[in-house]
Amino acid sequence: MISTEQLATMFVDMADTLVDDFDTIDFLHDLTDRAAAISGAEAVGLMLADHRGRLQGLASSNEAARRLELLQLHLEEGPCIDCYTSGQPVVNAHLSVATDRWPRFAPAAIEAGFDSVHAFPMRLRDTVIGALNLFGRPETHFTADESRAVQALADIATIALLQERSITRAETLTEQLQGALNSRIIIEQAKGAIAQREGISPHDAFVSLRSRARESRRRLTDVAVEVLEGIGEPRDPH
Amino acid sequence: MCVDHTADDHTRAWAFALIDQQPPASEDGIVDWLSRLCRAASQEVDVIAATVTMGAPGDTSAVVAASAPGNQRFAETEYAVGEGPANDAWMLRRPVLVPELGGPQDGAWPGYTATATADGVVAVFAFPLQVGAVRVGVFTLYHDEPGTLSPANLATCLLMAELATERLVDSHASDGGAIDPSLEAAADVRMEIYQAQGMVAVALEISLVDALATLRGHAFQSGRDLIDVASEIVHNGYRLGDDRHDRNHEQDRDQE
Repeated sequence: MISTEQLATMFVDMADTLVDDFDTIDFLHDLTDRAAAISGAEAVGLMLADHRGRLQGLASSNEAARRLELLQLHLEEGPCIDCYTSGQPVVNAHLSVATDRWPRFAPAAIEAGFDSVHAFPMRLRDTVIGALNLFGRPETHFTADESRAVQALADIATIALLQERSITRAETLTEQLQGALNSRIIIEQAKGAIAQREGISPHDAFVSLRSRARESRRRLTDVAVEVLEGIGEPRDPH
Repeated sequence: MCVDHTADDHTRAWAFALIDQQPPASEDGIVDWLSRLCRAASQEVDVIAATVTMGAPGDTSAVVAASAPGNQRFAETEYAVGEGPANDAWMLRRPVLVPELGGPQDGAWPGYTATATADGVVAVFAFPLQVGAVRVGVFTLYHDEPGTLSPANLATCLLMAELATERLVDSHASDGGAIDPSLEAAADVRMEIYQAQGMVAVALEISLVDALATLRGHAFQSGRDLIDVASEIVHNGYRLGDDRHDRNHEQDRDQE
């Protein structure tokens, strides 16, 4: 059912997007759309666990997928929850014969017009961080190869999320660290400048710098910057 | 957390075990862990020292961890001279591997090569700590004999760089986005250099950048550590002899 050519094109497209400056939510919505198109599933949704392990819908190909995910959360049962808790994919589960497994979800999903459900874990080493869920008609049946292809989509979603998370963290760390380093350096330089200008010790220069900051109710770094401004620039003859 | 890592779980577990085997020091959290990482790496790869620097090693930066207490100096050399392999690794965003300083793969760092060689360093291997386009610091290994890294050792170094990056970035995230105080404190090592920089700038009426260059030049010419030169200025006042005279002299010449 899934054509190799379609699949290859899609992976190349997705990889291209990942390299660029991408918006994660946009990317994941696109991924659910593509997963739906390629698998023939009626609705595709992606759920992610928060830091307390509670699942939340993050992206979906349509409202139906969103509703089915919310339903599972509300009923506390369903393929998505099974997949998340076990870390194992749920493939080709037919709702008509799954009323034992999901006594409340299965009838509700059938009533909403769905027949088959599939869920693929989003795995990071030993941890499951979420699941990619597909809801379809009876003919939505995946072969082993097709299952692997859909699992690869779930893996791409994982990578996209982690990439954004780690880049954002690294950015903040770098910015804050550079900021902290810079303000320390500026304060020390200003201490040296005051010490030299006034013939006092760096410690006394710091006391003077701090009292200036307090008197003018400004940040120490701002006062230090002011002290350093103009050093080394051409001066007036007088 | 890390996305573009190539190491499998088994190799990562092995590397973590190497780090955990290192006895913890008295210091706190992340700096101690990074120091153990440096120690584990230098033992495993069999080099004389390893360091972790945050920021651009030749510019605004702090040496946050080293394989042994005195080993910070190997990284401080790059700040003292304002150039070197770790600084290049930061600038180029890729590993810089120098099997022999002064050899064909030396990156043309006259100041660095002279200073590092005098300190017994022969080979240097620098790995940027980065996530995508975001750079955090540099992991550097130093050896007293010439030679390239074996493929296995290269893989170990890359993995250690990856683990160091993850730990730095994760520690930051788990701490509500605040910088670990031990990392911040690492910046204090160069306090006196910055103070001396301010003093020299005022005394010579030159920019702070030129003042640092003057300090570096003085340290290099006299064969002393930048930190010692700076410390002397801070404690005894600024007396760099005829620097000012030379400078004025040059200006006079320029005006002619």
